[in-house]
Amino acid sequence: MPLSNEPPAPAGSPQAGRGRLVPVAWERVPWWGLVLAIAGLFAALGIAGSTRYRDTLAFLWDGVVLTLQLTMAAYALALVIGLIAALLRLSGRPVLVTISILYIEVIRGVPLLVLLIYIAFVAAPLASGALVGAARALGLSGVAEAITGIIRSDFNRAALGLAIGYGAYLAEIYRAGIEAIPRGQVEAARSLGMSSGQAMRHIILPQAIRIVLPPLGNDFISLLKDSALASAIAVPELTQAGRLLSSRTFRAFETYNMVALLYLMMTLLGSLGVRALERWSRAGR
Amino acid sequence: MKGRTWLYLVVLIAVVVVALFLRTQRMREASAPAPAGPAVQSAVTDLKGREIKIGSDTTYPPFETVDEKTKAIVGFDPDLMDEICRRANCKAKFTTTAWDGIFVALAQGQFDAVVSGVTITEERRKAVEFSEPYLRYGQVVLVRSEESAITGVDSLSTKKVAVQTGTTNDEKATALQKEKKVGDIKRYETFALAVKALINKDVDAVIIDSYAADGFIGVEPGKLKKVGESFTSEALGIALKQGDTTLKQAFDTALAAMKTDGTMDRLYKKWFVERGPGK
Repeated sequence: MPLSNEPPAPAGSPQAGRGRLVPVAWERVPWWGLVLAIAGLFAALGIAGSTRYRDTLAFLWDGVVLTLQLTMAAYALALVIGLIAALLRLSGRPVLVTISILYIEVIRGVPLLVLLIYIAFVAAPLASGALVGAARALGLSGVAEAITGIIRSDFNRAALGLAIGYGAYLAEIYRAGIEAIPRGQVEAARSLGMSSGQAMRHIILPQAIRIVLPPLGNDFISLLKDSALASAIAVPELTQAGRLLSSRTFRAFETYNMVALLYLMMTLLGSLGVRALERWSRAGR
Repeated sequence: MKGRTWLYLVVLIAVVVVALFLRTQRMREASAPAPAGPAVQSAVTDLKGREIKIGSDTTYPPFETVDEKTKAIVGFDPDLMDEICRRANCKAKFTTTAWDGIFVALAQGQFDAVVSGVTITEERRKAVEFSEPYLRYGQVVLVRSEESAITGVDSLSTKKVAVQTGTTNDEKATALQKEKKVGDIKRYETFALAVKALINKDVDAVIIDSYAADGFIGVEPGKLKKVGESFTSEALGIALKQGDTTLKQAFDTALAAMKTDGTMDRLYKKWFVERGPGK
């Protein structure tokens, strides 16, 4: 996060005047961005000029779409799982705290790839087997069929696995954000007659969200990259599409150049977004 | 009594002599200057004890798997390469690698050969050199043993079919899907995972080479069966770097010798008949 090294912007609008009142600060020019922009331009020209690269891009396009879908679905789910785990951990009730710590420690201690394979080849089949059995006993076959239908899909399994994995990291980010709010604010809110839930909702979370937005954004980018692991459980996302193409055409060079470039474009867009978030979260204070 | 002792002594000495003789014979064969071997071997190129680095995706019974206890790579292909190397005077060193990118690794010189149940195809010939075929086979449909709706390759039009990414089975399934003869294709990194998905009922069938189908039926007894006839006719070969005529020459002559002297039949019997699932 190179931006965090900058001196704090003057009060008021931090954006205004940059580079106008101050003489041009060469060390502030985003050189990395320029380098990437030039490299990107060359890459774009190369792709436009070569039928091979165009074919590669056309083949990989579905994979890009699926990678984005998978990342969005997994991230949305992870945000919810993470918030629940963080709130449980901070609830102060021994049983809930234990459950939350257990979840966080176990999941953080298992490689994401192993977690995905485990869910796809061990947990999901066991769960659907158990569900079908239970439903037969209870006569609720419709419900069981719906649930088995959901966990039968590789996409859903991958999204669930990534969400469970990232939920543990997000929970710790939320916790850090919530704990950063001075204890006195809760006490003040309580003394004004708010319940602890109200204090959390109206006083703590609005401030905590602002603190955790940048790290949450970073984890989004990280999740986007880790979605490549889903190729191991038969989800035809970008990485699997690349493998498929290179094994068919033997053009590993072009294929993986393209795969890497596509991931890079997605993550760079993501990190621009994170920078904007950082600026926004600092501006409000 | 005395006569008996003599007899024992003679038998003992005879056994020792025979044992020593066989031992030196084997050593000579192993380090073998080609002319010393029997006539049929004299044509095999001598590789002068060279170590051959072989890449293999060792998740493919009975061609190559990692033994649970010894962690050695065992199967038809390692035995085949040992036999070839015994004749061509080389040392086969198998390394486990992922199927994905295996030919790229070969082209870049990470391996001297890829022996991994590799089907000879025209497309692959553009990128790698192939030895003469060492085994002919067909692709089959593998299903769960209780399956009744699928009776062969023609009943897959609405079914979910699993394959390993980038195999000839993948190509065949993709071609069948274009003709609307296969419903949905799920691609896994190994056939072991594809078969696991089949047993877990995530897919309805696996399209796979006939011998590998037998291999998996042997690994998961009672859970799987083949249905229908083989619907392709293909051959396996040893993949070499493009233009590697030395190894091609050596392997081809060794293979030819093994086909005539019955070694191939013996290996075939060992891995596909005796270990085959009730056949």
